[in-house]
Amino acid sequence: MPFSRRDLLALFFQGVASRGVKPQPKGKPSGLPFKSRFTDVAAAAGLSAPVIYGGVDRKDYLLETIGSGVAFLDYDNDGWLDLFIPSGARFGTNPPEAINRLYKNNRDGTFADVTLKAGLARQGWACGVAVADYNNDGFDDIFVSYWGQNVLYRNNGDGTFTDVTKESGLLLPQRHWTTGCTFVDTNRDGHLDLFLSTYVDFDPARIPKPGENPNCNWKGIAVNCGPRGLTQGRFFLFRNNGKGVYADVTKAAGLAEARAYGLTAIAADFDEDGWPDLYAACDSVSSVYFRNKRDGTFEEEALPRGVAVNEDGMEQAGMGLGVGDYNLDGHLDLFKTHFSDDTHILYRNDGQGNFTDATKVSGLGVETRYVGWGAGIVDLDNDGRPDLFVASGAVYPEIEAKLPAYPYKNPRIIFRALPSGAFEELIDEAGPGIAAAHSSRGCAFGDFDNDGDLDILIMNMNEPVSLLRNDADPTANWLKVLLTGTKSNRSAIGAQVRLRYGARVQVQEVLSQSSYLSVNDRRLHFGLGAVKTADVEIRWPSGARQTFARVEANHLLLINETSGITARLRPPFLLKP
Amino acid sequence: MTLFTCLALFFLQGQATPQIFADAAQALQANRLPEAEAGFKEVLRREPNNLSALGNLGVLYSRQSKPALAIETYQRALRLAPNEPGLLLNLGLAHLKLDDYSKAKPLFARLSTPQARELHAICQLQTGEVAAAIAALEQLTPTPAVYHFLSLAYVKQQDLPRAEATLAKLYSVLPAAQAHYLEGRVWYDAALFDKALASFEQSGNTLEIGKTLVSLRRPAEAAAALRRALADNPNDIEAQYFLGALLVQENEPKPAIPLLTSVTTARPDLWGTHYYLGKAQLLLGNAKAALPLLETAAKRAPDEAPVHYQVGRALQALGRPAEARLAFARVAKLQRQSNNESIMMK
Repeated sequence: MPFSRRDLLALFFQGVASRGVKPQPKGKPSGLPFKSRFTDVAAAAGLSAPVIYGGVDRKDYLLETIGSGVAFLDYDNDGWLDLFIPSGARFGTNPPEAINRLYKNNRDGTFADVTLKAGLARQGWACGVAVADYNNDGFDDIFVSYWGQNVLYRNNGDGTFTDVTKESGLLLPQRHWTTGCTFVDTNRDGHLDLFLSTYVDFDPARIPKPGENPNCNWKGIAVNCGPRGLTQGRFFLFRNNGKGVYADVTKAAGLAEARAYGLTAIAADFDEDGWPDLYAACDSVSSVYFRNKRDGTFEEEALPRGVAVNEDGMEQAGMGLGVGDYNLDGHLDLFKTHFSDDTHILYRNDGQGNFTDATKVSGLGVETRYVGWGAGIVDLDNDGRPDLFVASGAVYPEIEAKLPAYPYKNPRIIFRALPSGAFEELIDEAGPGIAAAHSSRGCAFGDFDNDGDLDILIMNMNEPVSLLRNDADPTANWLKVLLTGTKSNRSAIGAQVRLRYGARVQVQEVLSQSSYLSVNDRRLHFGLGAVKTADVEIRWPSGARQTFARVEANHLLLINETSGITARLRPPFLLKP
Repeated sequence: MTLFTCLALFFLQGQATPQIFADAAQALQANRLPEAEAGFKEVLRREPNNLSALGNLGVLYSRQSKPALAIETYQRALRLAPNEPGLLLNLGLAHLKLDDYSKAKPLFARLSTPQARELHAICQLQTGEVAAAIAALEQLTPTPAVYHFLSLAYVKQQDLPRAEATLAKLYSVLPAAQAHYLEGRVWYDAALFDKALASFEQSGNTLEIGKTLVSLRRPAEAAAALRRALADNPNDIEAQYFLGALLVQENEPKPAIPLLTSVTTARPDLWGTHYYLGKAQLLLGNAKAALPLLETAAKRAPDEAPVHYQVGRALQALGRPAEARLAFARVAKLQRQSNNESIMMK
């Protein structure tokens, strides 16, 4: 009988577990209408500049493949979401248009490129973005991660930004390939610290050429090398002294020894002890979970907490992270996107920061065709049940010519939540903006047109961004919450909002990075379905708690940590005339 | 074949305790393996350097599917007779049982028989020396096995037309069902499962159809095919294993347990069976029953991180967090080792 090691592993590697996974068969369609439709309105909105990221038809280096995140932010506090789009570069001749871009929302469905005026034009290999008011001056600032030196832009409050990286103490002693970046108040002193992940120790001169090594081939075709085979990246933690100056406390915090191919970084209180924990999606190796020990130090606990690998103990290629409460039990769950031939993973949180792989039972195993990047646990149709979203795109443009089954551009995917608690994959059923094929990377969720549903901004490799306008069921109710900290950091990063509506409870947390290296609308959005009121409970990073009973649906609530609800705005939420 | 070689060595040596040896050899030939093992061990207790006893004990361990023990025994014998062809061949074959082609390759390279040249070419193919493997295979007398591996080599070179042309030759030297089967094996080994399924369906081999459907992630059809294979041959250990493991992975642990238990009885050496049995017990919430099974799997497969991961989960479920942390530390160490081995920076 031909039993060998490969036979024993056959079920791991050839179809049942996590590598070389074929999709589960789809069940019968639910027949339930998805009352939301997405249309790409980027061109009409004036978002026509391509996001340059490496070669178009071939990519000789890993650096060219991973793309960047995107950000929804309101840099001018006018109540309308603006856009920040980090840019990559190109080896050889870098096109002049390869610059980061800031687009101001014209409040009429269009945007104006204000990059030069804002002082944000910069070339380089930008990757991630984090947004928060790091100096508590009332204006959101922007941190951009790079291969090279990262940049912190202070918002001057007059439509311009200033590069304050050096004076804020954030210059790294040497070149790193920083990817994940998130503001987080690790010690709850009201000042935002900064957690960074780096991907690989990348030096083009030291990396084999495509095909030179077994790790530089994919399905028998020579491709760029890595990340497997390259030296792993690391993690940094910078502590804010309250005056806008940071100190590198990585070693003291216990993060210096961890190594991984780190990508998206998030910070949230998963074990519900009031202190933010750190998590990074890591490519090809175990992801990392740093539990906040409440004394300035952290402990890496991804394996025992069940968020390092999948239920079979297999490492996965973590890219993006959605954070939300998919099963409406009041605890923050995780949704992580992966490479093709593997499923994305859904981790269910028991409320104490212990997670269970719920991928198969949730019906997510039906899709393994595409590389997943941007991710969200977001209620797209306002039915009160959070859905899952994946932005996808292959990494090797040169493969498609030889293997047509592996196209470079792929559709987006919605896993809509069903009443049963499982999910149903939708592509064509959710509108042309979802079915359209692109090689996408980061995406952000936010309501750019202030009409009460979540739109989606998506980075596409060497193409203009997609701006998917959501036309959701107008009869479905919703509620938005925008928090302003006083004792806590002003952006309320780390605040948890718990909504009770009908028989349901849902928790969300204000984050400064999630999805794939991206930043969502800081206004938390809850779909309510047919329910017309909700009870709102807020737990601030300071520990303060507020509750507001029977709040009327279909409003944006502005809530101040000290004074409570300061405004209840109906669409289009105008703060200033 | 190798048994005869070792018997001959024995008679040439004319050592003592001939009756014990002869009885053990007879038991080995009659597949009375425990009796044979006891006999050869007794000979070795009396004469630790008895080459024939060592060689036959290695054969016995191979037959018992204990390749690690077989390797250790053959290596001990080779220290006494470094150039003995039968030992070199058998040691290489034992390495192949562990898919350790890189260790088998130099052993076959020291032999000049057509079989050894073919095995050497297979090792070249499996260790990435595809062009060299093709050159070697093209020099060999064409046999169905040569056609099979040559086709696989062409597939690895992305040369499907030549692979298909070579496979077509199988039909002139083999009955159609066998040719379809070998063709299916090529596609299966090349992970071209749709093509493999078509070939296996032509061959009518329900076991291979079931295994391929597992790889195609069509679990219901895979289970049905494997059940058909078991209806044809209820003692088919491979079908029992694949169906049992598939059911565990599909969260159906109860019907998997009797199948996997049967495999364990017939083949106690297979760590995968213990692993899936342990996982089945974990799925049933019976961590107490799962833990010894998973620990057995971990002992037999000490380098498989996923196995240690399940041990950790079982220990967590049993409220033994300190021991669970040790298991998870082992997982992390194995993962680090695996990654470090792949580093390729200049």
